[in-house]
Amino acid sequence: MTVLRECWHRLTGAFRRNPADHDLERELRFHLEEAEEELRAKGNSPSP
Amino acid sequence: MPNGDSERTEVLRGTLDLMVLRTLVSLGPSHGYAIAARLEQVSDGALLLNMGTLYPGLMRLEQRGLVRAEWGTTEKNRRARFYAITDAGRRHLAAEKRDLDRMLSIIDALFEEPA
Repeated sequence: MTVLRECWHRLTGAFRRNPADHDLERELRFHLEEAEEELRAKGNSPSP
Repeated sequence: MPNGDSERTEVLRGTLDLMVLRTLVSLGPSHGYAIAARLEQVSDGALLLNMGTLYPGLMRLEQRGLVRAEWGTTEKNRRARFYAITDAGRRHLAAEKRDLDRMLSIIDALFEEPA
């Protein structure tokens, strides 16, 4: 799961150019949370 | 970027656009995660869209007026950005589908020719 978080930080860093990108950051965070929840539901641990 | 790479990128983007638009027709307004999950499901795992591909693609579609996006609440009471296809998006999808069908029929005809 740290791989996903690392991707998120890289992506948000690339997009983080102005306050309007806060929406994108929220959107990406939601995506990661959904992915984490799905993995947990399948019995996978979110931590390495 | 060499012209060949640029053209290939545009073809891939066009294909992604088609798949995302069609998914929105099937599912109705959906957030990005649901769109990616649907494409993975329909393709039986062959199509895995990463966030770096999906979200720039959705942004392009929104900028072109082919989808609109607004914040909403999921069934789990979470805030998410939902995308919906617009009338322009439906027209674009129909046109792209016609082009794709035409191309596939040409390819089929080519492969039917004796080797």
